[in-house]
Amino acid sequence: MDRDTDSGAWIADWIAEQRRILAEQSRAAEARQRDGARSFAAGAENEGSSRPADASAAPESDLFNVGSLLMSAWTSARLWQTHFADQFADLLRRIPPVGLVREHTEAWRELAEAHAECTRLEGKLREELTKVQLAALDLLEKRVRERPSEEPIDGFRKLYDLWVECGEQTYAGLAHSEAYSKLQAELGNASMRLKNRLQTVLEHALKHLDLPTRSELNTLHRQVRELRLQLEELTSAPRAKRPARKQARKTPKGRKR
Amino acid sequence: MSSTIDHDRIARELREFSDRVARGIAALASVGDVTIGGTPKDEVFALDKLRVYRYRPLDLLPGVRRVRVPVLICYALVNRPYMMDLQPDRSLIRRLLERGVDVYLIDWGYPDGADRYLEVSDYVLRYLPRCVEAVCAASNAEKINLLGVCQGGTLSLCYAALEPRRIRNLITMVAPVDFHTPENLLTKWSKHIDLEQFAAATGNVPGEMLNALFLALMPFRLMSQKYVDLMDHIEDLSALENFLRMEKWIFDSPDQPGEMFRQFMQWFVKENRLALGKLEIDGRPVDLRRITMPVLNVFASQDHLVPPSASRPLARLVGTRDYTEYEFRTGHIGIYVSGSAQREVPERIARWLRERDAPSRRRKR
Repeated sequence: MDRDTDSGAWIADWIAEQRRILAEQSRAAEARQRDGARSFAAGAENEGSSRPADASAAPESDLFNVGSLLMSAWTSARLWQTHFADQFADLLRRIPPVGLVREHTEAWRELAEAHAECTRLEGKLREELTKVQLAALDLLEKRVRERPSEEPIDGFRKLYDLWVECGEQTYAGLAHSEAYSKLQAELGNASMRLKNRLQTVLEHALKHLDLPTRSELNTLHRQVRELRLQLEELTSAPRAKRPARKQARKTPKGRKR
Repeated sequence: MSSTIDHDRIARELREFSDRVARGIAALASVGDVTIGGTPKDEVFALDKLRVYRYRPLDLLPGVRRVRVPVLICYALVNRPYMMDLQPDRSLIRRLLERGVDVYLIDWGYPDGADRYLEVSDYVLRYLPRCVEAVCAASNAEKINLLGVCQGGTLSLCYAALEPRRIRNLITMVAPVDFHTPENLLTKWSKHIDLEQFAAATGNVPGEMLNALFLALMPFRLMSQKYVDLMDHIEDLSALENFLRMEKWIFDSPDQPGEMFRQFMQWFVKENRLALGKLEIDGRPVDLRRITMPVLNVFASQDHLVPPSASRPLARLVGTRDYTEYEFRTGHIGIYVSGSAQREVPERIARWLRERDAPSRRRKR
């Protein structure tokens, strides 16, 4: 983009600013993802040892992160410590659970693995979407450059509308691709797996408290449905012989059958 | 680069926009709840969570002759049917009533956990036949006209193919038939989804989840530009209310019964069984060639949810000799609510029905 002329400078600046913001967001997301996965895995390991843990354990607070970043002298030591902790957690995950809490531990490990997979795929999808936004900015730059001089972009609104157009165009290219469909489906499947694993763990806790679970409710719903269908079958045979009009009248207005 | 810069102008633009946002917040705070629909109607049938309503007749437009055979609207399960009667000046139902059409509508309600095992067969072979019977009884008609909208159109096609004797004329509106056309993004996205696991994990599929999916089809426009555009007419109370009504409709999405969703996605979307002639419901083959009644297929040329290529194949699949196609230049939602659609679509439907109307044979008592 021609930055020498005053005419295009504000657009070039705007695009550069957007790129900078995207890069920053991307870095922050990666950091969140890393910290989140680590604390979740640690929570799962605690639970595996029969200690209570918060399944939705939040990553360290920003304040704490800022503090630790400021302690630059400790950075390399901290990195080594983190690496060691990750390795140790991974080692623990590989050891088959035994003893009284074996089943429980396994359920929590599966939950932790499902969470890690989900987080990994979320990161991958976010990467793709960031690429789309960057490509949209490239396209915007090109479209601005190729625009006829009699149609100037003389306001933010025009630039914004053009950016939306470029964004949709770039996104459509990705969205229709097989690779993206696959990635999105993988993430969908992983989050459903995570939900399933979470439900297993929750149901285990509910059973301890003698509270009804979703699985039990499902059994009941299925049974009620089967009974209803059987009942309809039994009652519909003689009714089918009656004129249809009378049949419809049998359903009182506003009342459930 | 040829853009001319006017720093004062840009500063003014930003200032004006911030002022508009501030005024917009005040306008939004004062607008209150918006009312939806309002065309008077009476419940004529109820079964489980579904209701069938009959809309009360309105004064006819001058010179209009009544259509004797009633119309039953079968809407999709994904959204609420009040899109057909959003507000007095954006109501396909009202426009049909003014043109002498006797309108009934199925409201599927909001399924809950107890409905998670409902299947496609429940909708096509249990619910729809009873709704049709109820309309026949209420209107004293032997046959009715069925108007299926979107997914409701697909279900109506299945019903009409399996039970054609009760349908005089069939209208499909933005209804997908062939799910495997290149423009169909939702089909591409669902290709690798593990539906068994999906249904097991979610039970009923949350409406919010589907909404997120629909927004992801055009994220820049639907999640950003739409709201920026709103600022252009934020102080126009009527336009603001229109916008809020539309927002309510878009996000008022019932959950989908889990098993019904799984079967629909697997059979119709992933395997395209309806278009390929391989669909069976409760062991009964759904052969679209059995649809020999007149068919009007209405679709929108700019539809990003149900592209025209998904609706058009109906022409070669149905057995009728009286097939009419009506393509209207708008999008999936615009076909119900846009100004031009309000003027043209109901008129076209009513005229098509009137041309195929017949004395309603009284049913034997």
